[in-house]
Amino acid sequence: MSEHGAEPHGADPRGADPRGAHPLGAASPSAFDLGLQSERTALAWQRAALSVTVGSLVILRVAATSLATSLEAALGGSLGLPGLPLPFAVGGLAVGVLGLVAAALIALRSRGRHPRLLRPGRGPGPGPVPAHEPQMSQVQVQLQMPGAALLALLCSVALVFGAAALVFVLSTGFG
Amino acid sequence: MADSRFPQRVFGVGTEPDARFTLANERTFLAWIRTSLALIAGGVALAALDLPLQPGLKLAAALVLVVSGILSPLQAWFGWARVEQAIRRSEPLPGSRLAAPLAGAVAVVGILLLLGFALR
Repeated sequence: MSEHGAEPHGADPRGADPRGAHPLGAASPSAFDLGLQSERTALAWQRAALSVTVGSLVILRVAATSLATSLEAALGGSLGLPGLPLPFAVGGLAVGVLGLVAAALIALRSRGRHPRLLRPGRGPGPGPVPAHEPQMSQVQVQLQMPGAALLALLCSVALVFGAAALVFVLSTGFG
Repeated sequence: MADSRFPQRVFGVGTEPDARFTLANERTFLAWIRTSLALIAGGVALAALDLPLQPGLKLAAALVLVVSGILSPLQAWFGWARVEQAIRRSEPLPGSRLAAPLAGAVAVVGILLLLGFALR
């Protein structure tokens, strides 16, 4: 097997793996455990949801305050809340709560997917795989995944953040 | 029965792939989203914080970061869709269209900040 593991299983001209372990070396089948696949994806979702939550707090703390000052100066009066216009406050809080709710929903979705991925017949389970068993790459894991509505929603939230940030940067630069 | 999952242009083609590939594609999408949020946060921080930089170059760097942060979710969505379609059709995976321009943008931001610090 090449250094990068690009050659297919069984192509090693030297015969058995020198470490006496799985031909994929460090990337043993247990590292590709189906449960871990689901867990890694769930953790990636959690990080994204937390980033959205933190981003909404940044909007509340930094951008909204500065925009409120600019708006109040332009309008020549107070907007009711000290340095924080209501739409921004409501929007920032809503996105923050949405991020936390999304994190909880994703954790629940992952918990529901985990046993389905590990159902007998999906593929090898955790732990070392005997030599006579097929490699993970040779096992098809057939499971219908959900649609991409959540992905589209997250994409939209990131675009809204970007638009708000662009308005803020332009207002500080040219305001 | 017809597949009703959203978006149809992705799930309406090919056959159901190995779930691990779909999950890996989803993680790549999420990595792009996090990159986008980091770029946006960097642009906002640059504009909001009182840094010892030449104002014009600081604004240019912040704009490059924020615009890159706006483009990244588009790459995340369309890249995810193209890769998912390729996986479902058992075709070679397409490359990322924004990776090289994004690397260039980050390098430009670094140069702008260095110049902004030198010319302040």
